[in-house]
Amino acid sequence: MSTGLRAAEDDFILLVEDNEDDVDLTLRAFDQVQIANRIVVVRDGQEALDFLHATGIHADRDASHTPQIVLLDLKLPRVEGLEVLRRMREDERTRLVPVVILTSSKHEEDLVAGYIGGANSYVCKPVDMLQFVDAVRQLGLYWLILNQSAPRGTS
Amino acid sequence: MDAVETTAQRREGHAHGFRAALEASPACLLMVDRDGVIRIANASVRETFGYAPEELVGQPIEILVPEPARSHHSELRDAYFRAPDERCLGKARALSGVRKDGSLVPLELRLQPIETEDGLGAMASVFEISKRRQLESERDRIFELTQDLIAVNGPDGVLERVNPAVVETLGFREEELVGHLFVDFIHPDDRAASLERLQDRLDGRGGAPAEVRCLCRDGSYRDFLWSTTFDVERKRIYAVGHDITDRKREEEVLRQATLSVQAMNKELEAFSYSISHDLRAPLRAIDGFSLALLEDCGDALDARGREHLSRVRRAAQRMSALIEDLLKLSRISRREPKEERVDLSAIVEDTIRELRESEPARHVDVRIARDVVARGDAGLLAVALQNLVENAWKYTSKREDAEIEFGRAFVDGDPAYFVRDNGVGFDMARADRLFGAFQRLHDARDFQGTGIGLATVQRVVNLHGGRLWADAAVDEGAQFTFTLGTEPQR
Repeated sequence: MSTGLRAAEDDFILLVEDNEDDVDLTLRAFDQVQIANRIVVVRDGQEALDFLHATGIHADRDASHTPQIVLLDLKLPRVEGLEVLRRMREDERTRLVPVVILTSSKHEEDLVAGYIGGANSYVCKPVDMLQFVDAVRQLGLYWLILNQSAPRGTS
Repeated sequence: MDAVETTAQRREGHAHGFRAALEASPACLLMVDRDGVIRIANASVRETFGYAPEELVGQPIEILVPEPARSHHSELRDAYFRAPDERCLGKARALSGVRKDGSLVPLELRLQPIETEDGLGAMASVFEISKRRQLESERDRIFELTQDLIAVNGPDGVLERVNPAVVETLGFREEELVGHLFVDFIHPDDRAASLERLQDRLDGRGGAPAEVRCLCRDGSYRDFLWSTTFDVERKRIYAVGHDITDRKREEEVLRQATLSVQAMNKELEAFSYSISHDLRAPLRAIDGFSLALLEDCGDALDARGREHLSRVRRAAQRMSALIEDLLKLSRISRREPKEERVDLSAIVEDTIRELRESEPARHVDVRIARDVVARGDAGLLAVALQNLVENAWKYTSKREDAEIEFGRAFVDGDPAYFVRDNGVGFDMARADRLFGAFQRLHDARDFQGTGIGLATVQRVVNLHGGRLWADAAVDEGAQFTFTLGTEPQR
């Protein structure tokens, strides 16, 4: 289906988002800008950590298989976004995984806390869907194409 | 005739004897007539006032009276002669005379009316107060006058002397206090520390003033700051207490108010946080799925159906803008304005440039006064000016010959800044609604807006301690003017 960006077999994006509508709209936006990378969706902060660190319901995962990028909402059930970020940065396996905070919050405090917590980017989701699609396009272009991430397994 | 002479002679004899007695007196004596002229001065005046007696006789008594009493002394004199009696002056209130060399001499004075051949006069016996007695009387006066509590007690803690302020403040009679232990009048929780301090003083250790709660007759307690010192020679503790009850009460009220403001701010913070996050998410869904519907099923809809969906999207985006502005307003309200140099002209220029870029087709004649600089919070003033300039831009949009002007004027000597336009204006009768949040004077179909812009400007100006007002007329434009309390006084 993708004529644009080609994705390697095991490349994937982790989307941490509890709002069903936002999940669908985000997937739709990625689809529209023809980013064909697999997108794994987890619905709360605890599941995100379980997935990333192969614990709990994701205990059978290979934790060394990290996502190309984590799109992280801030306001999440169970474990909130900033805490997910903190624990990702504490863990050697996920210390260098790029994290883009993708949130509704335009709060300066959140923004600062996000960067201090080690987020690589902070994107505020606009209400206007066309602007949102545009934001996703640029995000994909930068983080999946232009940016050279640290090789996997580096810590 | 003989009889008359005899009487005159007798009088003269009397007068002679009188004078001799005056001269012999060690007291300083002056006799003054009704008009205040010194008739008699004995030799002692030299010692007290530095004048020879003959220098004073014939002079008005006022030359011995210092200012400020001198200027109204004649009235005092008249009052005395209207009801002459024997009286002492200088005991209740300090009294001084002025010596020949201009220096002041503290005095006490006894006045007696005296009948002379020339009519009623007054004999003044003047006593110089020695330095020591003067100090003592001053000290007594302070003891009586001060609002601070003064208490003297022995090493055993028994009160021996209290000043009237103690009686007045605590409400106990003097005899209920004197002879009793001072700790009986101290809050039970403060007693141990007070006794410790007493021991410290007795042992020769000083200490900072201490807060102590003292018992009032009605059973309540008041807060005092007590300073105490020990006189080793007399074996007496001297204590001065300053009433800090009101201050402490105010501090407590202030503390509570600060706490509740902090709590309120925190709540507001949480509230605006959840607004910004939770309210925007459903709006995004409304907008996003409306667009999805247009994109995916647009063909199944006719033009009207597609227009309906576009309206849904516009409404969602408008509400999003509204939330944005409200959040901005609430953030501004809680901000402590900085004081820095702000180039207002530059802010207006930038705003106009952005507006021109957004609507390049519009022709607007803009005049911006150059180098208008104010003191205030750059971020807040930018928000305020952007709002005013954007309003001017918006409300001139229906005019071919639109004009916008920014400049400085002086109102009552204070600098004031204005943004003027020749747009649609408004009816001044409705101006009172202008600065409230969500208040709009124009139909949303004519001019878009959230109704929060001017409320925001108002907040910014208020935070600076300034004033904002409007002048306008329908179809003739509007002018918004504001001052800033942060300006230096000219």
